[in-house]
Amino acid sequence: MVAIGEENPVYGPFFGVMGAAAAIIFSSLGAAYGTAKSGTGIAAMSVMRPELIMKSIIPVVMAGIIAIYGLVIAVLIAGGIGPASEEYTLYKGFVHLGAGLAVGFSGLAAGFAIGIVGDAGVRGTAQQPRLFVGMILILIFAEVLGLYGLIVAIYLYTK
Amino acid sequence: MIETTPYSIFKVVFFYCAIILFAPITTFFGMKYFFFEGLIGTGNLASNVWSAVLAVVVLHIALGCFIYRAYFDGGKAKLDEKVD
Repeated sequence: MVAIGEENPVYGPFFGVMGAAAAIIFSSLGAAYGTAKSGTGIAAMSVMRPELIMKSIIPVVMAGIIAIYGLVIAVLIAGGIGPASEEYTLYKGFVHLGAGLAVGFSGLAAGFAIGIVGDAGVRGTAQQPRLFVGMILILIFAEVLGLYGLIVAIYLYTK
Repeated sequence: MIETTPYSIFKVVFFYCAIILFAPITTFFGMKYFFFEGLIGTGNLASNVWSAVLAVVVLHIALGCFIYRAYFDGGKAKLDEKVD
Protein backbone atom coordinates (compact mmCIF):
# COMPACT_ATOMS: atom_id res chain seq x y z
CA MET A 1 0.00 0.00 0.00
CA VAL A 2 1.27 3.43 -0.98
CA ALA A 3 -0.18 6.75 -0.04
CA ILE A 4 -2.27 8.41 -2.75
CA GLY A 5 -0.18 11.24 -4.12
CA GLU A 6 0.55 13.31 -7.20
CA GLU A 7 2.26 10.39 -8.97
CA ASN A 8 -0.57 7.92 -8.33
CA PRO A 9 -3.83 9.83 -7.94
CA VAL A 10 -7.07 8.03 -7.25
CA TYR A 11 -8.33 8.63 -10.80
CA GLY A 12 -5.23 7.03 -12.37
CA PRO A 13 -6.85 3.62 -13.02
CA PHE A 14 -9.66 5.39 -14.92
CA PHE A 15 -7.32 5.85 -17.88
CA GLY A 16 -6.26 2.22 -17.79
CA VAL A 17 -9.84 0.99 -17.66
CA MET A 18 -10.77 3.27 -20.56
CA GLY A 19 -7.82 1.86 -22.49
CA ALA A 20 -8.98 -1.73 -21.99
CA ALA A 21 -12.54 -0.76 -22.96
CA ALA A 22 -11.40 1.22 -26.03
CA ALA A 23 -9.29 -1.72 -27.23
CA ILE A 24 -12.17 -4.17 -27.39
CA ILE A 25 -14.95 -1.69 -28.29
CA PHE A 26 -13.31 -0.20 -31.38
CA SER A 27 -11.82 -3.50 -32.58
CA SER A 28 -15.25 -5.10 -32.31
CA LEU A 29 -16.79 -2.18 -34.20
CA GLY A 30 -14.34 -2.73 -37.05
CA ALA A 31 -14.82 -6.48 -36.98
CA ALA A 32 -18.61 -6.12 -36.98
CA TYR A 33 -18.54 -3.80 -39.97
CA GLY A 34 -16.16 -6.13 -41.83
CA THR A 35 -18.29 -9.18 -41.10
CA ALA A 36 -21.57 -7.51 -42.04
CA LYS A 37 -20.31 -5.87 -45.22
CA SER A 38 -18.56 -8.97 -46.58
CA GLY A 39 -21.47 -11.09 -45.34
CA THR A 40 -23.90 -9.26 -47.63
CA GLY A 41 -21.48 -9.88 -50.50
CA ILE A 42 -21.31 -13.61 -49.70
CA ALA A 43 -25.10 -13.85 -49.44
CA ALA A 44 -25.56 -12.19 -52.82
CA MET A 45 -22.83 -14.28 -54.47
CA SER A 46 -23.87 -17.67 -53.05
CA VAL A 47 -27.26 -17.54 -54.73
CA MET A 48 -25.59 -18.26 -58.06
CA ARG A 49 -22.28 -19.92 -57.02
CA PRO A 50 -22.86 -21.82 -53.74
CA GLU A 51 -19.76 -24.00 -54.31
CA LEU A 52 -17.54 -20.96 -53.59
CA ILE A 53 -18.73 -20.63 -49.98
CA MET A 54 -15.50 -21.88 -48.45
CA LYS A 55 -13.34 -19.50 -50.47
CA SER A 56 -15.59 -16.55 -49.82
CA ILE A 57 -15.76 -17.05 -46.06
CA ILE A 58 -12.15 -15.80 -45.73
CA PRO A 59 -13.01 -12.05 -45.32
CA VAL A 60 -15.35 -12.96 -42.45
CA VAL A 61 -12.62 -14.95 -40.71
CA MET A 62 -10.14 -12.10 -41.19
CA ALA A 63 -12.61 -9.61 -39.73
CA GLY A 64 -13.00 -11.92 -36.74
CA ILE A 65 -9.24 -11.89 -36.22
CA ILE A 66 -9.33 -8.09 -35.82
CA ALA A 67 -11.55 -8.58 -32.79
CA ILE A 68 -9.09 -11.13 -31.36
CA TYR A 69 -6.32 -8.49 -31.56
CA GLY A 70 -8.45 -6.18 -29.47
CA LEU A 71 -9.29 -8.99 -27.07
CA VAL A 72 -5.61 -9.83 -26.51
CA ILE A 73 -4.71 -6.22 -25.68
CA ALA A 74 -7.81 -5.74 -23.51
CA VAL A 75 -6.90 -8.85 -21.50
CA LEU A 76 -3.29 -7.65 -21.16
CA ILE A 77 -4.36 -4.20 -19.93
CA ALA A 78 -7.04 -5.60 -17.63
CA GLY A 79 -4.38 -7.81 -16.05
CA GLY A 80 -2.17 -4.78 -15.39
CA ILE A 81 -4.77 -2.53 -13.77
CA GLY A 82 -4.90 -2.16 -10.01
CA PRO A 83 -5.99 0.35 -7.39
CA ALA A 84 -4.05 3.59 -7.22
CA SER A 85 -2.93 2.70 -3.70
CA GLU A 86 -1.05 -0.33 -5.11
CA GLU A 87 1.37 1.82 -7.10
CA TYR A 88 -0.78 2.24 -10.17
CA THR A 89 0.72 5.51 -11.35
CA LEU A 90 -0.90 8.05 -13.64
CA TYR A 91 1.87 7.31 -16.15
CA LYS A 92 0.80 3.65 -16.29
CA GLY A 93 -2.78 4.75 -16.85
CA PHE A 94 -1.78 6.97 -19.77
CA VAL A 95 0.30 4.19 -21.32
CA HIS A 96 -2.58 1.73 -21.03
CA LEU A 97 -4.99 4.25 -22.54
CA GLY A 98 -2.59 4.80 -25.44
CA ALA A 99 -2.19 1.05 -26.02
CA GLY A 100 -5.94 0.53 -26.05
CA LEU A 101 -6.57 3.40 -28.44
CA ALA A 102 -3.76 2.23 -30.74
CA VAL A 103 -5.15 -1.26 -31.23
CA GLY A 104 -8.77 -0.05 -31.16
CA PHE A 105 -8.60 2.53 -33.92
CA SER A 106 -6.22 0.44 -36.06
CA GLY A 107 -8.72 -2.40 -35.76
CA LEU A 108 -11.56 -0.07 -36.73
CA ALA A 109 -9.65 1.02 -39.83
CA ALA A 110 -8.68 -2.53 -40.77
CA GLY A 111 -12.24 -3.75 -40.28
CA PHE A 112 -13.62 -1.07 -42.59
CA ALA A 113 -11.04 -1.98 -45.24
CA ILE A 114 -11.75 -5.72 -44.93
CA GLY A 115 -15.48 -5.15 -45.20
CA ILE A 116 -15.34 -3.08 -48.35
CA VAL A 117 -12.68 -5.22 -50.04
CA GLY A 118 -14.41 -8.44 -48.98
CA ASP A 119 -17.76 -7.36 -50.39
CA ALA A 120 -16.40 -6.34 -53.77
CA GLY A 121 -13.86 -9.18 -53.90
CA VAL A 122 -16.33 -11.95 -53.17
CA ARG A 123 -18.78 -10.70 -55.79
CA GLY A 124 -15.94 -10.38 -58.31
CA THR A 125 -14.52 -13.85 -57.56
CA ALA A 126 -17.84 -15.42 -58.49
CA GLN A 127 -17.47 -14.05 -62.02
CA GLN A 128 -13.68 -14.29 -62.43
CA PRO A 129 -12.06 -16.95 -60.19
CA ARG A 130 -8.55 -15.61 -60.91
CA LEU A 131 -9.46 -12.57 -58.82
CA PHE A 132 -9.22 -14.78 -55.70
CA VAL A 133 -5.44 -14.40 -55.30
CA GLY A 134 -5.71 -10.63 -55.63
CA MET A 135 -8.53 -10.50 -53.11
CA ILE A 136 -6.49 -12.51 -50.58
CA LEU A 137 -3.48 -10.20 -51.02
CA ILE A 138 -5.58 -7.06 -50.56
CA LEU A 139 -7.24 -8.60 -47.51
CA ILE A 140 -3.83 -9.43 -46.00
CA PHE A 141 -2.69 -5.83 -46.54
CA ALA A 142 -5.86 -4.64 -44.81
CA GLU A 143 -5.29 -7.12 -41.99
CA VAL A 144 -1.72 -5.97 -41.26
CA LEU A 145 -3.08 -2.48 -40.48
CA GLY A 146 -4.66 -4.04 -37.42
CA LEU A 147 -1.47 -5.99 -36.72
CA TYR A 148 0.57 -2.76 -36.70
CA GLY A 149 -1.78 -1.38 -34.07
CA LEU A 150 -1.33 -4.57 -32.04
CA ILE A 151 2.47 -4.32 -32.23
CA VAL A 152 2.45 -0.68 -31.11
CA ALA A 153 0.03 -1.54 -28.30
CA ILE A 154 2.20 -4.40 -27.01
CA TYR A 155 5.27 -2.16 -27.22
CA LEU A 156 3.49 0.58 -25.28
CA TYR A 157 2.25 -1.92 -22.70
CA THR A 158 5.80 -3.02 -21.88
CA LYS A 159 6.87 0.58 -21.07
CA MET B 1 -9.96 -36.20 -55.13
CA ILE B 2 -12.63 -37.02 -52.59
CA GLU B 3 -16.07 -35.93 -53.64
CA THR B 4 -17.23 -33.08 -51.41
CA THR B 5 -20.77 -32.46 -50.27
CA PRO B 6 -22.27 -29.40 -48.54
CA TYR B 7 -22.05 -31.27 -45.24
CA SER B 8 -18.32 -31.93 -45.63
CA ILE B 9 -17.74 -28.25 -46.52
CA PHE B 10 -19.59 -27.29 -43.36
CA LYS B 11 -17.44 -29.67 -41.33
CA VAL B 12 -14.21 -28.24 -42.75
CA VAL B 13 -15.25 -24.60 -42.28
CA PHE B 14 -16.54 -25.29 -38.78
CA PHE B 15 -13.31 -27.08 -37.83
CA TYR B 16 -11.07 -24.27 -39.03
CA CYS B 17 -13.25 -21.54 -37.53
CA ALA B 18 -13.21 -23.33 -34.17
CA ILE B 19 -9.40 -23.55 -34.33
CA ILE B 20 -9.05 -19.88 -35.31
CA LEU B 21 -11.35 -18.74 -32.51
CA PHE B 22 -10.19 -20.97 -29.65
CA ALA B 23 -6.51 -21.74 -30.35
CA PRO B 24 -5.21 -18.21 -29.58
CA ILE B 25 -7.24 -17.90 -26.37
CA THR B 26 -6.12 -21.35 -25.20
CA THR B 27 -2.52 -20.55 -26.17
CA PHE B 28 -2.57 -17.24 -24.31
CA PHE B 29 -3.84 -18.58 -20.99
CA GLY B 30 -2.13 -21.97 -21.31
CA MET B 31 1.28 -20.49 -22.01
CA LYS B 32 0.85 -17.77 -19.37
CA TYR B 33 -0.17 -19.98 -16.47
CA PHE B 34 1.42 -23.36 -17.24
CA PHE B 35 4.54 -22.56 -19.25
CA PHE B 36 5.82 -19.08 -18.40
CA GLU B 37 4.61 -18.69 -14.81
CA GLY B 38 4.52 -22.38 -13.93
CA LEU B 39 7.57 -23.95 -15.56
CA ILE B 40 9.96 -21.09 -16.32
CA GLY B 41 8.81 -18.67 -13.63
CA THR B 42 9.08 -15.44 -15.62
CA GLY B 43 7.60 -12.23 -14.25
CA ASN B 44 4.02 -11.14 -14.76
CA LEU B 45 4.74 -8.56 -17.48
CA ALA B 46 7.11 -10.73 -19.52
CA SER B 47 4.87 -13.78 -19.41
CA ASN B 48 1.86 -11.68 -20.43
CA VAL B 49 3.65 -10.18 -23.41
CA TRP B 50 5.20 -13.43 -24.64
CA SER B 51 1.90 -15.28 -24.30
CA ALA B 52 0.19 -12.54 -26.32
CA VAL B 53 2.84 -12.72 -29.04
CA LEU B 54 2.58 -16.53 -29.18
CA ALA B 55 -1.23 -16.36 -29.32
CA VAL B 56 -1.06 -14.03 -32.31
CA VAL B 57 1.50 -16.28 -34.03
CA VAL B 58 -0.73 -19.35 -33.50
CA LEU B 59 -3.68 -17.35 -34.83
CA HIS B 60 -1.87 -16.54 -38.06
CA ILE B 61 -0.69 -20.12 -38.53
CA ALA B 62 -4.31 -21.29 -38.23
CA LEU B 63 -5.46 -18.59 -40.66
CA GLY B 64 -2.73 -19.60 -43.11
CA CYS B 65 -3.88 -23.23 -42.94
CA PHE B 66 -7.46 -22.17 -43.64
CA ILE B 67 -6.49 -20.02 -46.64
CA TYR B 68 -4.30 -22.86 -47.98
CA ARG B 69 -7.18 -25.32 -47.67
CA ALA B 70 -9.68 -22.92 -49.23
CA TYR B 71 -7.31 -22.11 -52.09
CA PHE B 72 -6.58 -25.72 -53.05
CA ASP B 73 -9.81 -27.50 -52.09
CA GLY B 74 -12.48 -24.82 -52.30
CA GLY B 75 -14.88 -24.49 -55.19
CA LYS B 76 -14.86 -28.15 -56.17
CA ALA B 77 -17.99 -29.15 -54.30
CA LYS B 78 -20.63 -31.21 -56.00
CA LEU B 79 -23.88 -29.79 -54.78
CA ASP B 80 -27.38 -31.15 -54.69
CA GLU B 81 -29.26 -30.40 -57.84
CA LYS B 82 -32.01 -27.85 -57.49
CA VAL B 83 -35.42 -29.50 -57.87
CA ASP B 84 -38.15 -27.56 -59.63
